[in-house]
Amino acid sequence: MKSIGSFLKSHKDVAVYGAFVLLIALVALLARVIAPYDPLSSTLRDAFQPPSAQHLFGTDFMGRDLLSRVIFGTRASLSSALLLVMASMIIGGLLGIIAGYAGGAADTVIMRLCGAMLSFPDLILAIAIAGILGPSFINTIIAILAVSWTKYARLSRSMVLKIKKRDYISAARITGSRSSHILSSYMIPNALPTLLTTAVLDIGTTILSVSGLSFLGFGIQPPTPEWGYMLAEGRNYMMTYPWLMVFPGLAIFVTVVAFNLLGDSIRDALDPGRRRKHRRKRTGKA
Amino acid sequence: MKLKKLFVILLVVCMAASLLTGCGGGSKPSGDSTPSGGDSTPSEGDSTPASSGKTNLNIVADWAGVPNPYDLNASWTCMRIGLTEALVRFGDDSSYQPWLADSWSVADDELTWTFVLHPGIKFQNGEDLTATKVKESIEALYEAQDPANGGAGDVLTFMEYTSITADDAAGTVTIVTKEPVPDMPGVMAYPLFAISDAAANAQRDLLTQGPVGTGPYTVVSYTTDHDYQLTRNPNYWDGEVPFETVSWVCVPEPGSRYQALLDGSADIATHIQASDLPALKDAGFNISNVSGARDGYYHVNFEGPMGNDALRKAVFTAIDDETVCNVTTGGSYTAGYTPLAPIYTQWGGDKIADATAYDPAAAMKILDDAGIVDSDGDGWRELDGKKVELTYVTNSSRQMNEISQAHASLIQAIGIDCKVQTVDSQGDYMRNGNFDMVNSNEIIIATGDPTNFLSHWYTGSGTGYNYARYSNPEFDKVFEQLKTEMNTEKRYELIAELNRILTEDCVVLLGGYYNFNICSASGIAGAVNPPCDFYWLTKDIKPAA
Repeated sequence: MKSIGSFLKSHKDVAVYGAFVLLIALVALLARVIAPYDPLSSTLRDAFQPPSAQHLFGTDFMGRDLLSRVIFGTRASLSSALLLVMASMIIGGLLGIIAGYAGGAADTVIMRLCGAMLSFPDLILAIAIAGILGPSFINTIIAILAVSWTKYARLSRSMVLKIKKRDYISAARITGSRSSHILSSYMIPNALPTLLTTAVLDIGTTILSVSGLSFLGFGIQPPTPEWGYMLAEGRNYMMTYPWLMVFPGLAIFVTVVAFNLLGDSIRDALDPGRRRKHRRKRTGKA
Repeated sequence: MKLKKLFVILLVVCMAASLLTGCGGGSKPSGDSTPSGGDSTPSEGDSTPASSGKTNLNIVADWAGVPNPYDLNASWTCMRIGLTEALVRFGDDSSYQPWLADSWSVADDELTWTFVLHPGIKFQNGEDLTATKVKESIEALYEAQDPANGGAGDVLTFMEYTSITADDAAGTVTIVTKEPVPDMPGVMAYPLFAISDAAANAQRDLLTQGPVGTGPYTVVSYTTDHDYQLTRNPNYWDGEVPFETVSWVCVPEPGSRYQALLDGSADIATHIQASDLPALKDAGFNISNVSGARDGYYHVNFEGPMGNDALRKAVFTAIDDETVCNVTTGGSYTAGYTPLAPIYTQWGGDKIADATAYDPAAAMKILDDAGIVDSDGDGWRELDGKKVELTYVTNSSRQMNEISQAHASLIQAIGIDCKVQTVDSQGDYMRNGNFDMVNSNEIIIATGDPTNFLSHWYTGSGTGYNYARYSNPEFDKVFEQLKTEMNTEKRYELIAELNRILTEDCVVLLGGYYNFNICSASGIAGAVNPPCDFYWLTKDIKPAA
């Protein structure tokens, strides 16, 4: 805890962006408390009301409060993005570590599968998978997961290959350590920081992917509030009732920027080269 | 580093702001631009108003389907983009008007129809339109549609003939049908029966070049689902064709079509969102708006919970159709409760009382009285001890998705769990019965009267498909009479009776009567959307005087 505190103290940008992301997460967690209205409750006669004191973001075509829907939409976007990134990191990371460590047939099979998945444009493949499985939240996750694990597999494999020939690994083998011990004690801890940094950097992109699929109608189904789908609903009215697109769009923009800035700052903070530069700056050495 | 990030953020915000401001802007009349080969993105118009010197017309439409004259849906394309014409055409009051045929008559046997051709008509390739050519055109259609040849067989649902004879000297075509076809002129007016040069068609790739018809424009190039480049038919028979070239580009988003009109890159746009029409009108654009001929409605599955009369009536009573049409769709639909719109007074819609007018309290009472109540306290009612869960299967065409969601929320308000499943195409769901309500958006007077449309609820072999699995001997009996009745007044009575049965049985859950439109710049005259929805690009569209 103390080390986290000192880390944040010495990397104020991480602290600031982290606080911002935390705020977004709190919005998701406390949506029921913060939202002024039930996001699913519709009063058809109140449709298309412009932003006002009663409805700060206006209302949509069903007369639902847009602010409440944007707030509740945070849940869907954040949970799907976090779930996806975690799953991609775990599945891809483990497959990559196995491929790198075991080598041989396992390496060939996993990496050829990886290569095959990478040979398709990722969003197009995700659309195809979502199209086949049918539109739903889970199917969106599966569709994006099917194309996003490859990055982590390649990354973790390269990390493992880098340390596989190190002396301490050879020593561990000679002293009779089991593969599971080597993997859990040396390989995974070595690969984890890089994988985590990549994962944080990926959250923004993943939110965009999920929103993109929802926008195209392959994601969460109505009436559940989701930013991408809200954008799609609003596009037909964008000239007359622009708030239907502006606020969900802004929510996506702010969240993606927040996660990207946090990811950038964490990468900078953990990058040994940048760390040295940072230390030199602090001590005043050229 | 921080400065750099701040700069990037600032830049993105500026770009977003400039994009938003770009969405505004006033109307700018269309200028002239010539299509350039395959690259058919609508070009930015200049500030010159359309005038008599204008030689190119830019159209943005919601589709650009294949120009196949032998396919049910694609045949509409051929007629809408001005390639083909038919023996008969529909007037605005759905009456039969002469087109390639000057007149027609039926013999006393009620089977033999004779069409007298207008003299001097030429196909786009310069060939004369003779009676033999008409005969060949119809025969080629039936051959292409023959299920034995892999055809869809749709044409057989309109009319089956025993013989066609052509008399070139007299300019007459005589068709003998297997059974009486009371709306034969309407069948001949349907786009699938448009006349094209079968011999010339056989030498062409129809899917890219389109048929050789008699219409005012011909295809120069076609990019599938994207655009048509058209040129004037030099052999056109019915006056001067106003534009040398026409660029017809598919722009699926209504908002983008609206923007194309506003910024002058399009002269004409089809199906603009109703909520945008007032702004267009204020900006001086021409709006041709028609209602009544197209129903946005739902087939109700009688083999599911909706087969229960009380539940069905309660659901119909729970729908606030006025609000859904006027507010939710922004006026894209006109509210109604009869399958055949009351504007067609001959079919009695104006005389049928609304037994399911919006009244949520009455809807709940119907359910309570029928014992469809929430007995387990979960907030949803049960039927025969099982929670009622209704599913709307809908596509997003013509705002049916929005209507479905509005319906679902109104049905939930009376304690019935209801969800919406949005799909690309609902055809499989219709055929397999995997729905409680499935949307359809259909021209009800395809052949001038609604027999075809009404056949959806007929249990015998008919021209439609009984997706609702509705069965009512009374309806079937009247429909069978209608199939063979030749007397117009008697037909009106039978259709009115069918309209009444469907309304009183709560069979057709209406979303509304679709108000379709064609909008054009002030420099364009004659861009009118007819009620039948078949004629879009015509020789009557010309630069405003």
